[in-house]
This record gives sequence, structure tokens and C-alpha cells, in this order.
Amino acid sequence: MVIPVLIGMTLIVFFILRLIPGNPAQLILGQRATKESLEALTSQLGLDQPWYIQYFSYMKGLFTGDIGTSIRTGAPISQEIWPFFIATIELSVVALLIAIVIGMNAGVISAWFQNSWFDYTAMVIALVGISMPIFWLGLMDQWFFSIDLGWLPSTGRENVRDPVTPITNFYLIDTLIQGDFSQLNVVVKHLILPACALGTISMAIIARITRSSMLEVMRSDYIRTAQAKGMRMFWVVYKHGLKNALIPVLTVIGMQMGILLGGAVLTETIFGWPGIGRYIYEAINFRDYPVIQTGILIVAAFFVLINLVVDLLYAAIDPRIKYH
Amino acid sequence: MEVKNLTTSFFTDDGIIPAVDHVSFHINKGEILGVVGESGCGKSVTSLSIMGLVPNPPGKIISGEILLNGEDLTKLPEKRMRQIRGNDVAMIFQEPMTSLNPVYTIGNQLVEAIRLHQKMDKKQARNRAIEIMKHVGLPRAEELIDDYPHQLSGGMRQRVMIAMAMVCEPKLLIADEPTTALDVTIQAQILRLMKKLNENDQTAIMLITHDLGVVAEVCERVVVMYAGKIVEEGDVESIYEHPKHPYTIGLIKSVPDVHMKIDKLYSIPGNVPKPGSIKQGCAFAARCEFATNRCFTETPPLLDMGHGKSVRCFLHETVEDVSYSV
Ligand SMILES: Nc1ncnc2c1ncn2[C@@H]1O[C@H](COP(=O)(O)OP(=O)(O)OP(=O)(O)O)[C@@H](O)[C@H]1O
Ligand code: SF4
Ligand SMILES: [Mg+2]
Repeated sequence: MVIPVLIGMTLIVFFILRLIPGNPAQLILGQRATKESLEALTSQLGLDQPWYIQYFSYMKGLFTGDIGTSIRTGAPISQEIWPFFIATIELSVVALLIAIVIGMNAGVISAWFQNSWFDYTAMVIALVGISMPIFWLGLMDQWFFSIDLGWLPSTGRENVRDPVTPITNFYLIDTLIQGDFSQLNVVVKHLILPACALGTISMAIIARITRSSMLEVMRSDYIRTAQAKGMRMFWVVYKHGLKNALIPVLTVIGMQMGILLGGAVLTETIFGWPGIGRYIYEAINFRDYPVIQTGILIVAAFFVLINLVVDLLYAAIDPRIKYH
Repeated sequence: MEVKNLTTSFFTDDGIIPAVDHVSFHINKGEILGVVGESGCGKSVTSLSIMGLVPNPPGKIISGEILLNGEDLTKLPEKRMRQIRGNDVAMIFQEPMTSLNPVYTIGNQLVEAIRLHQKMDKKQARNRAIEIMKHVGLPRAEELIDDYPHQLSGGMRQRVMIAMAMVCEPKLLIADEPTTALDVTIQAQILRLMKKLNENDQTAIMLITHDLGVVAEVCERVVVMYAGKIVEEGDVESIYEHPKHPYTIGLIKSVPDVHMKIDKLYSIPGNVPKPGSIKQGCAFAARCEFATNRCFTETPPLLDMGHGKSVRCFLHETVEDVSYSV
């Protein structure tokens, strides 16, 4: 199932790209390039070949582990893309973690104390959160917390004058490995605003779905059984309630991961985050077909992977779900 | 245990429903008390009141006392109540299919019940769980303990529920229609098990049911409830032989008899009124063949008939010992 989906994906991206007007050779060589040099570069890039030959050689490369070479820089994409990709993953994962921890707890407590002031407040905030466009939220965060209050940096991933030495390219992990806590502090400060802006919508959606799922579960007989044992309500809610309420929440989290990756591109633009969104964006400006194709493919593959993990988690949570 | 004048009401959009209305009864040490009545008469709410588990809101204990070893359960703080639940008073429910948590193993849920009240490490608790599973007649306890509820049959799950209720050797076991959802042969097995536990462990049982046949089999005394009130109380034999309240008479008549043809099956005419919907007079008046004008205007009190018997009906006010042949 996974492979056909990804192949379909490459086809779609391949054709959409070629519908975008603009000639890569022209963009590389500039307006004053001669006809001869343009033709030479075009054939060197293989762009004078019919589309099926181009697609075939692209696919052949993929299956032999060669994800292509950038037209613009001439460097293998596998070398270039990694730091950008990891930067996006770091941002998305932190955003998702924030969304899960806060959203899930807000949902659980709202259901536990249904119709309390907490419930009302949390759900109003969630409603506002869902309807908030990311770019607007990002700009407001930026304006308020970094420009107005000056608490947090407004752009980038690190202090450009004192950059992090990358090991894994996950800067949180890298600075921890190096034991450099002042750098870790810098990295965390850079992460907070974009991660919060990116995580807000997911947080709101997770809070709402957790609440409704929990309300349903809390009416179950086994909740009453747990109470009748003399268990503390906190444990009744978190042990017996939450695990049962988790399946729909997990589905939503899986879907959010895709939306989050999309949102990451927007967030990266606003917060100058050197992620894959920015990498692909620059490639689009240069009609750098291989980079665009591969960049999108990698994001898609990651999304598919997340959904696989979610499926496996279902079975781990609910013994009634079995995979053959 | 003694319940005195217990009133539990639900505050709903349609008004206040006194689901349990000035109910008093007691359960002696080691006795099995049957509580019978049609659906909606307040049996479950009575038991949830004892457990302190009435859903609040909308429900609330309005008045009355529930005395257990000199403590009034209605006045205890939640923390003390938690020590009592599952330890002194345990409860099993009607639906064995849904009363166990589907995402945890049987063992996990049994061990949890043990460790909530007893200082045991996981290993000891597991051994105790296996022991109690054997005690309630579960086969292959060592393997079954790692199974999930969906792998068990309804009868086995109810045994697990009983095991879970019995782990701390409670003084009182409240069984809210424990056999209603099971088929007949399994019903008999579960009842026999409860009877055995009652005899061996001296656990008092409050057995809630709408099946008088079940009561006749295992109970010593019976409380009959109607629309949130007790209408008759007494020992099983005298209630079967000489039912006094017209409602009890109807209930006994409607127990199917093996010799009876289906079309002759008796049922009490009319519908069960919602508790509190009848503001005036005897709640049973609309369905009662003996009703007089007075029954529609005055509410009959619960009359003490002596020998631990009482009945809520005007017919028994004057004559000491009227009884009707069934
Ligand atoms: N959560 C609730 N909200 C409002 N009213 C309730 C609620 N639970 C119970 N009641 C009221 O209490 C009355 C008694 O309910 P209860 O569950 O005790 O009946 P029961 O005798 O156990 O019936 P059954 O044989 O169907 O279990 C019902 O008629 C209903 O009107
Ligand atoms: S009081 Fe009247 S209506 Fe009520 S049960 Fe007795 S005879 Fe029937
Ligand atoms: Mg009930």
C-alpha cells in the first residue's frame, strides 16, 4: 500500500511541476544568456528529453537510492536536504508535543469537570484556536513576545553569530550531547514561538476530540466499576478513562501530523526557520525540479510513516484491534 | 448495615425526581436480602447511594442515613468513602460485558483492586488474584489472568467481577441484577456461587433483581420497591405464601410457571409511573384492583405488621392478617 501511494505521489508532483511556466536553464543563466548556452545546459540537465524518459530516469534513480542532484547548485540532494529536513522535523515534533500535552490534558480535565468554568474557558479558547490562521497567529506572537516584550527571538533557529555545531541536526539533542546549556537555552528560546504558533490549531483540535471522547468513555460501566473499587478519581480518569478515549485522539494526531507539516512551511516563512519548506520554496523559485520532487516526496514519505506508526499504536492500545 | 429514611433525588429539567423516597431497611450480618421491583423503581439508585456513587449532578442524597459499623456513609468525606468502597462494601453490576475495562487484562484489574486496599507487592497480589479466581470457580486461572475481557464469555466475566468484588472480603456485597444479562444455565451457576460465598465467607449480600424466582432461590428476606418507595418487606416465605401488598401479589402472579401456557402469562396492567410523578395518593392506585377513593387522595404509610414485616397499603390498616390466595 505504501509504495503505490508514494509512486502516485511522484507522478502527480512530476506533472504539476512541468505545468509551472519558466525554464530552469534560463533562471540559472540569467536573461542575457545566449541561445547556444541555454540549449547546452538544457540538454545537460536532461530537460530536452521527452517527459517519460525524464520520469523513468528519475524513478530509476529513486529505486537505486539516488534521490537526484540539484540543478541550481549541482550538489547531491541527499547532502543538502538533511539539515533542512531535520529542522522541520524538530519544529513539528516540538509543536506536536506541546499540542498533545496541553491539548490532551485540557480535554481530559474539561470532560472530568464538565460544565465547569475550566471546561467553558478551555473550549472557548479551543474554538478560537481552531479558527485562527497560522500566519496571523505567528505574526501576532512575533509582534507581542519578541518585538513588544523582547522576551524571545523573532526569527531563526540559532544565534547566527554563534551557531550550533551540528551532529544530528536536531539542535535540542546536539546541544544536550555537547552539554552546552547556554546554547540549549538559545535553541529553546528560538523554538518556543514558532512551535507554539504551529501547534495551536492541533492543540485545539486535540483538546476538543479528547473531551468528547472522554465524555463518552466516562459514562461507561467500567468507569463505575473502577470507582466502586475505591480508586481515586484522578486514576479512574487517567488510567481507565484516557486509555479508552485514546483511539479517536490518536487518529486525529496522525492527521494533524500532515497538517502540521503543511503548516510548518508557513511558519518557516514567518519565523525564518531554515526548514524543508524554505528549501523547497527556494527550489521552486529556480524551477529546481529534482529538489522540488524529492523534497515533496520525502515529506510525503514521512507522513506515510507517521500513519503507519499510528496504526501500530492502535493495536498497542486496544487489545481488540489485531493486525494480520 | 442500616438505611434510614434515605431520599435520593435527581434534579432534572423536568423537575425533581425522588428516585429513592424515604427508604428504610437493614441488612443483617451474613444475610442475603433481596430487593425487587420493576424497572425504574429506584433499585440501582439505592445501591449507588450506599456506595456514594450517585452521579452528581444531577443526583444527590437529600436526606437520611446509611449506617455501617456506626459510621454514617452519607456524611463521610470522599477520602474515607474510598477506603470503604471495594473494601467494606463491594458492588457488581448488571452488564458483565461492559463492566470490565476492555484495554486492561483481567489480572491488571484484579491486582489493582487488591492493591488499593491491601499492602502487597505486585507478585503477592497476582498470586492472591489467581487464588480468588479459583475461589469463584474460574478454570485455568493461571492463563486466564493474562487474558483481556473480550476473550471471556459473559458468565466468566461475571465471575471475574465477583472475584474482583470479593478480593478484600467485604462485609457487604451489593449485586445489582448480576444475572439479568446471562442465559439461564449461567444464571443458576452465578447464583449458586453467590450463595456459596455468602455461606463460606459470611458476606452479606444485597441482591437486586426484578426476578422473584431468583429471590426465592437465594434470599432470606425481601424488600419490594415501587416508584421509589418500599411497599412491602418481610421474610421470603411469608411474602411468597402470604403476599400482602397488591403489587407484590401481582409480581408473584407474573412469575412464569413451567406448567403455565404462555398466553396465560399474567402481567400487572398499566405502566410503571416515574418516581415522584404521582403527587397524591398511593403510587400504585392506578393499577390496583383493590383501590378505593381514599387511595387516590391519601398516601398510605408503611404499616408495621410485626415479625419484621411491613406493608404500605390501606387494606392492612384495620385487619391484622389479611392475605390473598394467589
Ligand atoms: N442519571 C439520572 N438522571 C435522571 N434521573 C435518573 C438518573 N438515574 C436514574 N434516574 C431516575 O431514577 C429512577 C430509578 O432508576 P434506577 O436506575 O434506580 O431504577 P432500577 O430500579 O434500578 O431499574 P432497572 O431495573 O431498570 O435497573 C428512574 O426512573 C429515573 O427516573
Ligand atoms: S393503598 Fe390502595 S391503591 Fe395502594 S395498594 Fe393498597 S389498595 Fe391498592
Ligand atoms: Mg438498575
